[in-house]
Amino acid sequence: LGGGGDTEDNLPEWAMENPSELGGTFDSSGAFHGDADLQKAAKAVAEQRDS
Amino acid sequence: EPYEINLMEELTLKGVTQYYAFVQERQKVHCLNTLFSKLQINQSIIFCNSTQRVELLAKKITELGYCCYYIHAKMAQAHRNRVFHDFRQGLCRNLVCSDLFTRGIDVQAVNVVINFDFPRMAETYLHRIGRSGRFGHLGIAINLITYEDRFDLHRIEKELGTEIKPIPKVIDPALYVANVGGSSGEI
Repeated sequence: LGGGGDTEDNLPEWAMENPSELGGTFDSSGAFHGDADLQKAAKAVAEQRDS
Repeated sequence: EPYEINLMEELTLKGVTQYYAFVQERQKVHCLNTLFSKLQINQSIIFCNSTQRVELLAKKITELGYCCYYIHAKMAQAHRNRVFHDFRQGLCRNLVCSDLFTRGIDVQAVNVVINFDFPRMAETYLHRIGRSGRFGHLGIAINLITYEDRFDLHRIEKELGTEIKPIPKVIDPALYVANVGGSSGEI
């Protein structure tokens, strides 16, 4: 059982993450985007523009 | 003479607006934190698929600064009863649990139910989200769905003949808040 297929010996991925105090958002498909994801996307766009 | 009791017949999804949010497993607590900060939660119940995950999640929620109780099947019945009693009394806003409710949630103050882990079976989904007819009232259910859960989502939706919609940017408080007023609940 367990959403992530973890076992008693393996911690779920989210248990090892330090959730950002910043918020996240949802797009029109219902997908969650954390601020970190948005920052990464913005950085990727900026890098592409600079190259 | 034996007879069959189908407890599912007593449960209804009427009045419960159901949403899903696609997340990666590692994002789940971050997503939950976002929901906590944006929704107008009177009381919430958050379901996990294992006792280990219940305890770990309750710890995370507490670390985030929210009051949180937890109950699961490996706790002594007396302990479970006490925690649930205190939750019903409104001593804490959030309860994390595994599948313990066999007749749906009968706590009227609960206006938000979150499937932190999506269940495999339609019956489990109904027991988690459904309200018994006599207590049926407005609420929202939010399902955190990973890539692996996607087929179960569609199958359960079909089996229960219900609709689970993508979570919108704005959830109308009229769908789940008893005395609507104030913010629009933009997320």
